[in-house]
Amino acid sequence: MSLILDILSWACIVVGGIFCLLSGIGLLRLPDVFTRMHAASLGDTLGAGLVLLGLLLQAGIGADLVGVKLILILVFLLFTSPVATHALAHAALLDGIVPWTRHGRPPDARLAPEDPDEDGFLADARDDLEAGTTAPRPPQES
Amino acid sequence: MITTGCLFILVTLALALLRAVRGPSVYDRIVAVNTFGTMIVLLLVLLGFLTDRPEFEDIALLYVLINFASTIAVLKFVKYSSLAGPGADRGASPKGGTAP
Repeated sequence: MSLILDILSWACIVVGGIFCLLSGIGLLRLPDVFTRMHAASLGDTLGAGLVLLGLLLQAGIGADLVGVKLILILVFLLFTSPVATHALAHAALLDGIVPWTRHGRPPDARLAPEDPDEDGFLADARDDLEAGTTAPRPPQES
Repeated sequence: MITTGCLFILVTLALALLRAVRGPSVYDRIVAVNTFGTMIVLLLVLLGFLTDRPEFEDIALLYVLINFASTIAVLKFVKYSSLAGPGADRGASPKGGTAP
């Protein structure tokens, strides 16, 4: 029984570490703030969750509430990480950072009007650029 | 096995630090620092198990909350150039405090 728990705990910790590593690689290689946020959320949820689950399997509840503290860390992480990511994405969008798409960055994509434009994104971006509103502006505070 | 997890997380820390140094916009840097904080929390918990010192978990618990608060605070400072809120530097603040 102890051996099974050890193997499960080992697998959880290593897979969680690999997810953390993937999130780091994505953070470094992806092209845009929003895609990098997507990569960072991978490490925040699956990486942290699996590592903490593996340690929880090894600790049990424990004499001095080790397991309870692990669960508390996991709960706090699962509550605060999406809130921080949402606030960050909202602030970046309001600041005028246009999301990267498969056509490339919208100011670059604007230069190639003969590209296929199935979903109408380029036309929308072009209209927005001509109208001078590339991103939704923040509401004016009185 | 805990050492393996520590190794993975150390590499992730290096990658996040590289993105924080290189990031073209300030939001890239904030994302990188947020990830850095999460990985530090995981590293603290793993080190607590590795060296058999359960006190490290209390530090990790505190660090989760500080990480969240600092991300929101830095974000607010970047957005409004002030921690007091929008429009606080345009006149007297509503509560009578001193504007920075």
